[in-house]
Amino acid sequence: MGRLINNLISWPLLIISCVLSYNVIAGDRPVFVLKIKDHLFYPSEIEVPARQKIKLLVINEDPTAEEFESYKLNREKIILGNRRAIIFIGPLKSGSYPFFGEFNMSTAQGTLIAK
Amino acid sequence: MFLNIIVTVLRETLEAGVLISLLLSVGHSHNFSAFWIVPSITVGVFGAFFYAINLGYISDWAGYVGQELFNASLHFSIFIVLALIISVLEKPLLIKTQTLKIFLSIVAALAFVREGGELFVFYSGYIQNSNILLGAIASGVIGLSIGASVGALFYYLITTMPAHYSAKLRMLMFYFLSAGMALQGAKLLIQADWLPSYQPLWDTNQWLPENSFVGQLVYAVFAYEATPSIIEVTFYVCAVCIIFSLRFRNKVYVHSEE
Repeated sequence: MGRLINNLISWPLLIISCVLSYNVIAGDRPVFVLKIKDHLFYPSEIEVPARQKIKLLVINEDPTAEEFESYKLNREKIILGNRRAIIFIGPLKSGSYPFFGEFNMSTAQGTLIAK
Repeated sequence: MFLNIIVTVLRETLEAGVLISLLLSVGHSHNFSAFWIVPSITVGVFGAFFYAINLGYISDWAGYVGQELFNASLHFSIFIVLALIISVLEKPLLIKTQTLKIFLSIVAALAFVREGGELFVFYSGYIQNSNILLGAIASGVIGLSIGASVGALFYYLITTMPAHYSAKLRMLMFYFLSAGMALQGAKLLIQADWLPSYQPLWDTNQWLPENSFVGQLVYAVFAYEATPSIIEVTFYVCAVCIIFSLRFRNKVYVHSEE
């Protein structure tokens, strides 16, 4: 059991070291702002550069929480009411990528267009 | 709107439902009472509540990616404890019931924190709106019941089949679920920009959309991703290899003990 626990600790430590090294060398990303108000996304269509990683700054101006979600972008994140969050996206191929607010699916819909 | 609530609650409970049913089936196969789940649920629900009320602070950590880092650590922790469970199950002659119960309880509690935390946040939006609160709770109960029914179906499927097959199916599901936890942890680190992201290796949305009920069910069991990146696939494969190597090592160990 001792060796097993050693294995289970050393592997995650190795992964964490690789992750931290990558985090240090990764440069700044262009920032795009997306606002949530009255359970709607503003802008509902947001254009971003293709083949480049971007930083999406989501500002929730509603008093209630929302969950940004996109199956095509493979992203999911809760943004609490009156707070902001960062979501890293891409690099993407040219095309359109729908996203929605999981807590208000009927209204909170948007599309990210990579060009 | 209430249909959306049912879908949201169902998505959160489906994964936990399948995992909990698998854990309960382990207890059933080793003839110990399912009472271990009671303190585990209690700790999990309190943990989920604590997570939900502190989510604002957690989210602001590490340049607004604290939520991803916290959730990734939950997924990796579940992966480690599932690997320990697999390791213990591979030593049938040496199984210590108490150790197994502790591992099962930890996994169940962590799963409740992960899925329950989101539900607490989701319902916090309805607390101030008394007009729809009752409908939202009723819809949640429907979603929860469907998720629990799928879990119960898995449980009875595993526990009613011949012991030889159920042990094999259980082990296979442990493999998929634990590798899935590693994949989801990697996905969150990519989202936080702590791991590099690449374009998806494939896109199977045309054959099995991720947002369909079957897609969600396959996601709950196999951590199905329609558009995985090479990093996610690597974590999945590495997780399977790690568990397989532990399993092989234990088999050698058990044979040498005999």
